[in-house]
Amino acid sequence: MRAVFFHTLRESLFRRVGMVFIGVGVLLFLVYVWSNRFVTQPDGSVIVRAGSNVVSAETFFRNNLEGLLGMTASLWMPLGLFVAAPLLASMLEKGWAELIFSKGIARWKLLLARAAGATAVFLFALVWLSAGPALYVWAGTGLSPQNFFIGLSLVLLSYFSVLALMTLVAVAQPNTALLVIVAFLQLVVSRVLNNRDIMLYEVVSWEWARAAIDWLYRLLPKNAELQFRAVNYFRYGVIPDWWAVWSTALFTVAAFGAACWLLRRRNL
Amino acid sequence: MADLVVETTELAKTYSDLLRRRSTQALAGVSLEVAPGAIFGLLGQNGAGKTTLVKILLGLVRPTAGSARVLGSDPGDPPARRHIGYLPEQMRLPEYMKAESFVRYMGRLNGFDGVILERRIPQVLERVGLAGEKRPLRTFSKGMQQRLGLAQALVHDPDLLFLDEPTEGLDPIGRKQVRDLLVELRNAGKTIFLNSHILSEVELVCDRILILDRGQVVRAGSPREFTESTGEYKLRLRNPGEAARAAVAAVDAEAKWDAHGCRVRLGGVPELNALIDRLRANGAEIEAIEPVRVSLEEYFIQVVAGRES
Repeated sequence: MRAVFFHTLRESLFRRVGMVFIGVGVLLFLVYVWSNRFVTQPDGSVIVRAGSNVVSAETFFRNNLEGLLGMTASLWMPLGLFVAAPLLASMLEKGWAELIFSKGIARWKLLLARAAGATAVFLFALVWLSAGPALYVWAGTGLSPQNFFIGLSLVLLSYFSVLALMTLVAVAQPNTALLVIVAFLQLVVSRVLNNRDIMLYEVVSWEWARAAIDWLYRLLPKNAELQFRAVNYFRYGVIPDWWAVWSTALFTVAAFGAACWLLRRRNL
Repeated sequence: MADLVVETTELAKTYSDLLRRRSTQALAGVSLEVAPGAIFGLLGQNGAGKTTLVKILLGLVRPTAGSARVLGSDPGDPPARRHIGYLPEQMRLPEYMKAESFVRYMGRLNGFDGVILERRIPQVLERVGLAGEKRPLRTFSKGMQQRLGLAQALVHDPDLLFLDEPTEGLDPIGRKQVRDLLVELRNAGKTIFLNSHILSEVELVCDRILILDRGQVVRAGSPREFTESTGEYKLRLRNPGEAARAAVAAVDAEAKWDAHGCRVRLGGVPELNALIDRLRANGAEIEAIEPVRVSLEEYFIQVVAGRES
């Protein structure tokens, strides 16, 4: 499994998108550090010089990290999924699948190691894009980013759920473009389903259709809600309702399980 | 090692296309037993079921019916597959890798690691003629890719090898090297399944041959059995004269003559010796005598054409 994991990392660098993703992360982190300076006042308080603005450490901490969390969920996570798409699809390409699946390693291990490799690329990028800035702010202001990291873990769960869905689709139809579409659709659909009362039920009046939409909402990952929960947790330190968390986690496990089962039965 | 390397019973595979409501029978009840230490040639036209059979034995494809055992285990059993090497007909190599790192990766997937693997990599690369090759795989020619495919199939020192068109893209010297390698591996006790369209090559190296047609085994035997003597001999004579012609006509009135000798049908070795005695007695000078055999290619075409008609 280790060999597959490292091979996936290597492939992601070769495919440029992974390298660019991590490279952009490092660059943005450097820009972040360069543009946000912490200055300790004579009274011991800390202020932050963000460009031409000067704000208190608390204000900067609250606004900046909340923005970071939102950006991670709405921008970096989709990018991470798009980076993962070719890595998942290429494993099952004709000529390569025969080579690796004829080796003395179980199919599910190959699949999960591949998904883990794709996740690692995303995590490497997140170290620079989210975790790095949060730690920098912690070092500068002394304010604990614990809530930020718990919020970030909810975004990670959201990432895993879509990755699991993409893995399942990749086993059935290993096509990069299709996987990108699936990821994009899932992120959009989760938003629509979360707001189905105002976005769907006003135009869908049939009971059976509403019931189907409700079931779809229950089954699919709640990515939009997880983003909302992540930001809320950072703000208030509580998760008022765990439904989105556990149902998404359940979906993730089930989708990875189904992908492994399907791959085991698939003719290559 | 198990007594039989490969054992299949009534193996069948039907590919179904649900969308088009169509199904294709790739294998229809193939039973075979393969003992260790032999080169086993699989022959058949395109679509005869050769690749499907190999893929089932590797656990890449699930059979619709029948059963198979490979090295005493179910096909696809990962621990058993660590003793199997496979060279697919079509390979997509990672362009950014180099020969050494690619073979290392393939070795690791087979649970091979550490010093043994590191020692083994240069050995197999040298054996296939890629020693010291440092260029990325994207620059490799078809022949070099094929050699690398062989290297990855051999890196973990497997007991059983499935080679699909191993000499494809190789020049004559490369083909000879591969043939020598196969014989060397067989002599070392390995069992080799060879899929090839180059029948002259199969004839040269295989100990047993299986001819598949439309998913069924239509012939199985040794190349010698398939290419046995036709009962005809080619006689090459120096200055064949009337006396020689008369001697030959006495045993085969329909012998075909050309400027250098004749092609004569005889009942067996005693008749051949009697003819030689008669020719010598008539003063003929014999340059060469050669039994006429059917080539494997001719035999294969006869079998397949016979079934089609």
